[in-house]
Amino acid sequence: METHFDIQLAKLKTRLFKMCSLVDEQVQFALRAIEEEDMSLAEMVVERDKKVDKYDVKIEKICQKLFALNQPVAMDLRLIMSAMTINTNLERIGDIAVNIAENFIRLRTKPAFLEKTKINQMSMIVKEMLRNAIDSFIQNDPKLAEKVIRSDDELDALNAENHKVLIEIMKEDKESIEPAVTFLVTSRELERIGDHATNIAEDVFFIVEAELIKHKYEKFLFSEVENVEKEIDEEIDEDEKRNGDVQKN
Amino acid sequence: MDIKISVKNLEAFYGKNKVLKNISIDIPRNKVVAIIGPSGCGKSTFLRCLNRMHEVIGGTITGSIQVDGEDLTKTDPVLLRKRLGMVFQKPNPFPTMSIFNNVAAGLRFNGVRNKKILTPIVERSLKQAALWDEVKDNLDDSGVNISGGQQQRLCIARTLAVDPEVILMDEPASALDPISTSKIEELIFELKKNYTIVIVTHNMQQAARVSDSTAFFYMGELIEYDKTTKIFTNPANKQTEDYVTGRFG
Amino acid sequence: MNPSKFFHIKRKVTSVIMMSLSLVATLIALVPLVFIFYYTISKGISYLNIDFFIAMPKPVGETGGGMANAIAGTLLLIGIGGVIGIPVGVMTGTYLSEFGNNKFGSVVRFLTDVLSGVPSIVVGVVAYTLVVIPMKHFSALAGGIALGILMIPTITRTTEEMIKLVPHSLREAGLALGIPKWKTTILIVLKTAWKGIATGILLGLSRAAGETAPLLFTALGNRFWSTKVGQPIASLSVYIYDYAKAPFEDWNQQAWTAALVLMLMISILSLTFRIVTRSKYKTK
Repeated sequence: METHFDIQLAKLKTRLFKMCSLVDEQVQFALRAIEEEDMSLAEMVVERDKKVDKYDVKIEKICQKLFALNQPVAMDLRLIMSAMTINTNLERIGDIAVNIAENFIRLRTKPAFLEKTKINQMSMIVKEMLRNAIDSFIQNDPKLAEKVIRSDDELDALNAENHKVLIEIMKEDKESIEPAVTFLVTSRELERIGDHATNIAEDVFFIVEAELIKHKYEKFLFSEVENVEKEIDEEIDEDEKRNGDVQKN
Repeated sequence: MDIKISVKNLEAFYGKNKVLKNISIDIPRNKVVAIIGPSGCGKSTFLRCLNRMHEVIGGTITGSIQVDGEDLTKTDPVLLRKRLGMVFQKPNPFPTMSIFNNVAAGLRFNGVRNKKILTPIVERSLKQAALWDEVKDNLDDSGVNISGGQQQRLCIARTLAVDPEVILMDEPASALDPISTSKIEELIFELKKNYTIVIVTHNMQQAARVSDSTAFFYMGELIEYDKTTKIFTNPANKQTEDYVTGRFG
Repeated sequence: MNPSKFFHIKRKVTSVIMMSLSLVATLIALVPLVFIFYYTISKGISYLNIDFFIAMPKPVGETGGGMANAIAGTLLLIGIGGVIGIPVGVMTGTYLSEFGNNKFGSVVRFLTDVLSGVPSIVVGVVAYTLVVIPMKHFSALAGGIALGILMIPTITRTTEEMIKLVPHSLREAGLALGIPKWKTTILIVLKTAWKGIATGILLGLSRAAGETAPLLFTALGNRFWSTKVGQPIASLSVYIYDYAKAPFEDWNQQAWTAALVLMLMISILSLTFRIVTRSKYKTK
């Protein structure tokens, strides 16, 4: 029997799905703006951020109302809790897309050395990670979520490589400093999008499997996690004891 | 906003005992207003003032109650009670009558005996009360030979059969099991499309789930009356907040 | 033996003793009832034949005959009594329970209780004074009036109690539907209490059927067949009185049979009431 509450939950999901595709588009457009040197596209990304912010506020209000008026439990509770954090992550991704667009608007053109960096590969990976994260949420698919979480390391490695390459380029040619710095930042931003996409994937895991796998507790990933809480508690207690000893000294 | 019932400066007395103090509240058309508050705060008394049932146990009132602009106290109570129907806490179907006759009671006892007229009304009322499918083959069975949840829905059908404009519910689900309760709550969502509903409940979560506006009564006074979302996310009055968070003494 | 075991055994023994005493007391109470049934049936059955029901009493000295007139008389008398007693009793009982929570109600209740304690012979004398004297002769009407007065307290009290048992929520349900108070009282409350009220009526009728003393100077008695309301009339109870103290053995026998018939009549009445007031719904 579909209840009034089920209808409200469905509305929440619909709003979130719309936010997902909006933000996904923002990222795609920002990266395409760089690829095709399309200024008007970049400006549109900046302008559309207002819409993303509106969705952010709206979704948060819906979640608050659902908590207050319906006392959700079990899967409903996890869904609404995660809806709030996924919402925040999406909004940050939106902000990052805007930053990437704005930085490129200042540059106006693609530098030649771009081919030497791994920015393009990163763009592809980031687009795929975001797409998969969103799909894993829409389809309630923890395997897809897993894929996203595993891709994050590759992204980090590529970012580190870009770092080296761009610094070399800057040492060789003073003229290249401004564009190189811009793309250093852009590389960092792409890596951050990857982090947020990973967060979304972790939330999907929480909804479906009821397991909190935040902050790369990978040893607990997809394995027996009964003792996770106990281990974490013990580690924290030890830390506090050590700090207490230091203070005494 | 379309006001169905307008209450101004209502005070109610049982003998010399003042049980309601200066209540002013507007009940909007086709919405659900929930009345919450601790035991003895006067919420049931208030409800009974609306259809003048307080007079049956010797209560008196001062102040004004208007339904669609007409002063209640100048209307014949018998006619008034056909416009404002009431559903009670404990299901009270008439034990000597069949299901059919129970639903038709309000009409039969006022002179309508023609089965051709009664049958479609009984069917419509039972459908509106979400009971038709369960009893359509047993309409001649005794009205008390069905489960508690079904009896309560039978009482709702009986109230609906006289075609009221307002349905007053006095803790309609407090004597029922959780599944029957949720059936009745879903029913309320359907009914409010065509009727104005005022529901007294000691179950706050029910008020939160079901109502558009909520009124908090305490010791005979109306402490706060606002949209349900506001009452349960950010009530203006400290007493209200203490009550809804369960911190009441 | 340890203390807890001792108390355990003591408790058990006490329980058994008490149970046995209750059982014995019940049996003792049943004894008179059993004896009455036994004697009435065994002594009365021998004269129980069709003749008893359709034949008239034979003159003194002759054996045989029946008590057709007495049977008809008893029925007529409790009929008249019912016509007076039932409406008055039910309406008074209804009034008392619905509207009687005041001084006037208390007075009425008190008077009803007093009336139920008045010896039936006194009621007979009152009926004699009020009916027989103005009419200048004994009559079935006077007897019926006396019986009716006797029925009133029982029916009133039972009606009031039965109506009080109807839950207030049913009245509320009726009123909340826009049904006026008088209709709610009659069509819902009375209808719900009906079974209990009928039992009260049955009790009243049964008591009246067995009354002898008031009939002695109201209906008087009649050796012949009569169903005229304004004339004296025979009744089973008076016949039992007359025939039992007569010196004729044949008449004594007939008295036993009359007693048996009276008992049977009341049983049939009771059975009829049960059938008529049974619920038409299967109970769960």
